[in-house]
Amino acid sequence: MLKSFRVSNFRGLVNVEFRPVGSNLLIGPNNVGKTSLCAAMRFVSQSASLALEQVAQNVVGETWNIANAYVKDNTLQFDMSATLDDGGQPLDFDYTLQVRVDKSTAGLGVTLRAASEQLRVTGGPFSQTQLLDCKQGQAQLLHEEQFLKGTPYYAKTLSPDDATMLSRLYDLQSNRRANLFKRYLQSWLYFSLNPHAMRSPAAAEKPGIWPDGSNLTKSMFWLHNERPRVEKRIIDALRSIEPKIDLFTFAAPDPKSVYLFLEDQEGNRFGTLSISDGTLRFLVFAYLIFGLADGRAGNQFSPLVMIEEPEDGLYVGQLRPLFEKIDPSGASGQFIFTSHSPYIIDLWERNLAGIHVFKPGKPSSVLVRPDPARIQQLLEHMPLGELHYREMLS
Amino acid sequence: MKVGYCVEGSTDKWVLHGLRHRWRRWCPHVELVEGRYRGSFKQREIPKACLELRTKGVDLIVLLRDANDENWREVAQGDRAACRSDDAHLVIVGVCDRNVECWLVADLQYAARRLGVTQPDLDVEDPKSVFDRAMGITPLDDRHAELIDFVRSAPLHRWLSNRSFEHFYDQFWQKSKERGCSLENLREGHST
Repeated sequence: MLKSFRVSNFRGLVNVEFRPVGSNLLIGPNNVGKTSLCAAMRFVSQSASLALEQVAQNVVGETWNIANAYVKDNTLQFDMSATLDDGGQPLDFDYTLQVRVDKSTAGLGVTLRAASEQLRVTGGPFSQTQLLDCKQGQAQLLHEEQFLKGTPYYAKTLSPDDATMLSRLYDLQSNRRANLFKRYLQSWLYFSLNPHAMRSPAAAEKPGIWPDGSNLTKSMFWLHNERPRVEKRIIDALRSIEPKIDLFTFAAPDPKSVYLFLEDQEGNRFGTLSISDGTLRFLVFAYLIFGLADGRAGNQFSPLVMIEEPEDGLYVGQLRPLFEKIDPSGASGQFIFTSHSPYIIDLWERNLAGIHVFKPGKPSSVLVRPDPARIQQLLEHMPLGELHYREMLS
Repeated sequence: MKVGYCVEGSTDKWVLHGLRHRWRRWCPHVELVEGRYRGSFKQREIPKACLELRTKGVDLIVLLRDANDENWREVAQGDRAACRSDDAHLVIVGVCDRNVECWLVADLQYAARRLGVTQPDLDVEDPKSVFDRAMGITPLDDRHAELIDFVRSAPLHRWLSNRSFEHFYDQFWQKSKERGCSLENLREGHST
């Protein structure tokens, strides 16, 4: 579970620290950094797999302006700590990544270089033990098995400069815990759903909904075949929007296409083009909330899921029962939502610790956690969403 | 001193800002905090508007609106009655007799000279349209700099001839004084 994430000099964010709980809501006016914070988290997540410039392209669509325009510093910094379960043993990981942004020698764009990277672990036999340390092109990797035998030694190697060392770790024997942390970062999910993408029958090779909602039909098909109990729970939840739905049916004419249909008790089938944007969006949320909670059994860590503006096209009254299924402790997944809707904000009245308010500022916005005791008093006068609308939360 | 305000429109807002500029000599540390637009809520929402401003740490709350076709005293009494007892000591209820433009043209001579119109043009029951046209106020341009300057330079002691302005000023003067800030005494003819 992610305990803290600090980002500095990334887009509009300078020295912003985010301390999430199980179910979180990022709120604030436009252009204050809600999406940038998600982008920073995605940057770190994807840097565990891909080259840094590819990550920047994926996350913000460009390498220009990735550093804060008002800070005369060309280093992006990310610090995070997380607690992960290692076979029943909780381990606390601390990870720091510095990325240097240099103007390209060709004069076009910028280049991103991994300037330094450290990963430490605490718990069990480890106490602030350095698992990975990279500086100036040199990397030291702890041989974990040797460490546990009482003869610790660090393998020395050259670190890549266009990617993180974490992304190049493959030895599951000698770097088991570092790889556990790497897999955790890789598991983070982000969604900014697009109705057109959710309707598409185009199927990727593997299941898993993509950030824009594409591959939904393939993912539901996989669930239908592999996790029928989860599918049943999703159908039950979906009946709050579509009372007549009886089951999902599919047509997969070729390996690259899966067509999804909602079928009612009379056998009428409705394809994705007949399903409303809101229903599709609800379907994705139900897939994430029930599917990931179910998948938790086979995972060593709770998934972390970022969802932008869940209320788009959806009646908030439909979302309430679904969101109530999210465990606020984060045991079955950590969720981070962004929203402007007062009615979505109202859903956090019983989870005030999960409210994070961005306030505008230069060179950076500020992320504030309202005092729950003070908010509790104000809630006697008006709902949480209205407190936000009246800028009374911070 | 932080003064929160809920006003009905942009002209009311810039009138308050003009008064702040004008009274800066007497109260140099006045800061205005904008609340909800008064025009967008009903009397029943006054308690929420006051709570919002109190949460933002204001020392005084100005509720300013137009009476339009109603009796301004009755409207003021209604607004006052809508305040929670906890807030009553902070609240200044300003209700313009018809509209704020009536305050702005209370001294016809000054207004006519500043606006470049004749006094009879302004001496009408509702001067809003004449005032807006002469000032150049449109939906896209609130002429805030000009309005602030208009109020800052106005002979405010003559505005006291408008009873609704006098009522507003008396409350402002009294409540500011209670908070250690003596405003310009218009009755002693100190205006310039």
